Amino acid sequence: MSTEQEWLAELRAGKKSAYEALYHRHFRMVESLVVRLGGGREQARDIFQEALLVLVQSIRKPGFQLTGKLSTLLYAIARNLWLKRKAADKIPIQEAGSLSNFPAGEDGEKAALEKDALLQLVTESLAQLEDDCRAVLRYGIYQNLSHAEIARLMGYTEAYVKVKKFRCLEYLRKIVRNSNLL
Amino acid sequence: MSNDVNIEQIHQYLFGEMEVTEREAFEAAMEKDEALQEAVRFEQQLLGAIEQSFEEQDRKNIEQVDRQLQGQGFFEVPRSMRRLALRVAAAAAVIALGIGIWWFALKPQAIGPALAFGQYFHPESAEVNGIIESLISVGFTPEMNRSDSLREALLRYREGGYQQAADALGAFLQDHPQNDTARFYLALAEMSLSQYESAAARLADLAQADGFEQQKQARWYLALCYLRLEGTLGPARRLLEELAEDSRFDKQLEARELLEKL
Repeated sequence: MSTEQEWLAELRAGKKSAYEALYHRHFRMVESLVVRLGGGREQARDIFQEALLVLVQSIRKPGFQLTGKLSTLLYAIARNLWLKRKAADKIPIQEAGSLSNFPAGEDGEKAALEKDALLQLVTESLAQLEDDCRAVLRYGIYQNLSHAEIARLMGYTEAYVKVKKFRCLEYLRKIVRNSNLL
Repeated sequence: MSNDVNIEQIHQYLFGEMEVTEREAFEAAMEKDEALQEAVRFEQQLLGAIEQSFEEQDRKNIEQVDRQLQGQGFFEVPRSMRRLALRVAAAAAVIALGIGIWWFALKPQAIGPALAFGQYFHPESAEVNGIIESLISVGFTPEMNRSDSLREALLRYREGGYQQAADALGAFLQDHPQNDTARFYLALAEMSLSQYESAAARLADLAQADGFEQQKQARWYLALCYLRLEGTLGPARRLLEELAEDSRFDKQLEARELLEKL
């Protein structure tokens, strides 16, 4: 497996070492890009953080395959993010009275609070799970990988992954049901 | 509702993994089955929360790595760039020093009018030789005539005998008061003898004398003379400015330099 494929695998697993490696390998490239396009070093740091997150989101998409270099993909993401940000800076702030300034209704606020509460509960629950369980859910739900791919990455059989995923999810379901949030 | 089968189906539906006909059939089943609707809604929110939680975790991890690298000085300007910056700064300092040296050493220093006079006043010595030669070459008789008197006076001047030259030129001008050459060198002799008022009066006339070959020289020496008189720095500047712009004046550069020093 090439270095880039290793990084990709680590990104899928959510390992900090992958982010560190990408910072060391590609941050200067993005920094130069942002500075060249009229930004500053601090802005370059923000853009690089966002670009890493978008990169992780990108590799989650079904059918994603790294055909070129990871640096090329990261460069393209960073460039788009920076140009979008610059364009957004030029858009005038909406005047008071526009639709977006109306406060959310009671139902909207309640739904948002419930969503936040659910997120907090799930986050706490995931933290309590054993590592394998959390990895299977990350690969299976967040990264949307097939049972076969998860089995290959984790060194298990597909049947084991399928059962593991079901049990881990079932554990979370029970916690959420008992909370009466849903 | 069979829990195992339906959960798998619900996930396939939510992840968009069903064929069109399969999805249509599933949606038709949902319409008839409220429990299935509720199960789909529950899974949708649960899976959404799991996704969001992992995304938040990724964001936190990236921020942590960023902060950690900041603590290690990763975002400071790289050493190579610092070296380059230092070199640029050093080069800039050398250039600044060079400019400073030029400014203090080469740029004309501001000086007082009296000192300027001392530096720039040199009694005319180039043309006087030609004038003396021309007076000899005419081949006048041995008796002391007009030209001989002037030549003798100019010889005293050339030798640096300014008092003798002034006396002789003064005597000559008594008989020939309109001789501009005699008036001019008498003025220079007087300047050499520190008789600036008298010299300035003569030179002021000569400076306006159209047809006088040494008119520009007269203006130059008049300007110098003004440097030694009270309240005449302004006229001195005006004369020098005029001469500094005159490309046909042989002391044009000196006039510019003197102006900068004043």
